[in-house]
Amino acid sequence: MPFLDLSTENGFGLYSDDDALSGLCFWNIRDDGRYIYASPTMELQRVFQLTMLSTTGPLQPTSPCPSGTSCAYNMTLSMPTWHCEDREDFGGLSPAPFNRSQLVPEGKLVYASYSSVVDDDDNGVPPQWETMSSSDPNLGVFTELPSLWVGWVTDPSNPKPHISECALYNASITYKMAFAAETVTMERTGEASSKILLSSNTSIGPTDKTYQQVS
Amino acid sequence: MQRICAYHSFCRGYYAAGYLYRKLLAGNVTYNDNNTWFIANSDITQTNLLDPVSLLPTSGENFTSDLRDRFEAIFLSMLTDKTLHALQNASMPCSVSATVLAWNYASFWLSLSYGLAVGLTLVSLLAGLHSFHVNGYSADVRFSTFLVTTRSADADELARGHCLGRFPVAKEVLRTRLRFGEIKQGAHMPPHAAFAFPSQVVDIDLDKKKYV
Repeated sequence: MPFLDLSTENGFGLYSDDDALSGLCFWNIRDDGRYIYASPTMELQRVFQLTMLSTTGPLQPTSPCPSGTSCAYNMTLSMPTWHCEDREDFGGLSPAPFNRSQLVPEGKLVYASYSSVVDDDDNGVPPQWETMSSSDPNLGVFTELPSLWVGWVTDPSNPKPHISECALYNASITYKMAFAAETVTMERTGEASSKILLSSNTSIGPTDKTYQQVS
Repeated sequence: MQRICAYHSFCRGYYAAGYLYRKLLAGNVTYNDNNTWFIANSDITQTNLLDPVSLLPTSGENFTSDLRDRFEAIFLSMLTDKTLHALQNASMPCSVSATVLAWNYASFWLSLSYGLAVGLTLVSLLAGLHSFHVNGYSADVRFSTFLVTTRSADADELARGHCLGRFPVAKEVLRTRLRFGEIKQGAHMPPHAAFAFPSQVVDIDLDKKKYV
């Protein structure tokens, strides 16, 4: 069965064998030879766009069942996901770009969304790296995890505003993949081991204690 | 032993995908001054996360679950992308169900019908083999066979007055019994066999005589 093992991204760099295959991030190399995040790859952007623009759900894998049968299996993937919590008002940036009274029915805002970090460039590179030199040891270190703020409205006849803050978590998500005749269903059956990707007041960088070593 | 680089774990596409998602969702949608139409300023309107008419979330109260599911769908889509380094093959237990034809055998009735057919066929076969052994030769039932086996004076006499063979066959002809065997005649004459009246006929003996 096809299986996504994102840990294979580790060490997939300039000197890897699989030139024909694509990773998910592009890397820059700073003066001491460490890799630092540069941007998403074209392939990631392609899959991202295809999924976001689809009205029929994710791209469907081909059926692994013997012909004339239907089959199902459970698959657990280690992948990122969002955890969202309700908020009373917009925050994350000071000053916050919106406030609750701007949402319908009080105001005219039907939907609003922003990140708690202002990404200056098109690639998601944290803005503070722009001004660092290539020998700066802080170049490439993530010091915060941008969270996603969303304001939206439900029930057109009796509009109710909502505000949520969503953070990116690392989790093991289980799916039941079922293939029958012409249809494919991917049903999310569980989530486990969720940990926030980067807790506040911590940082993660290319010279981390658990840096990759070959012995 | 390789230890997983935590930094690279941070960016196994996690941060990058999260960034692309935040960027697509960013922006706002507002009513115009008269509340008559919308001013849309976000790429989220390219997706079906918001209803195209009301521009409210298609999943209503479950909007944040929808956001989460759509994000996870990006990684599910990667399962079909063979150009990705992260795509591997793994073995997983899979339950397969198939609709198959099941034959129901009623062995008693099957044995009975087939047994009867085979048994009766066997009886006919044995009768035929026995006849062949006793007669010493076999014959079929075509016209030529009857033509050559009805050369007797008795047969001529029986046929007299009915030579046209008109339908229906006359009752006296139908009721007359004939027997096939050796015609009684003088010893000096070559042996001859044909259908004749039973009193004129004796058993054929192929071992001793040659019939003409």
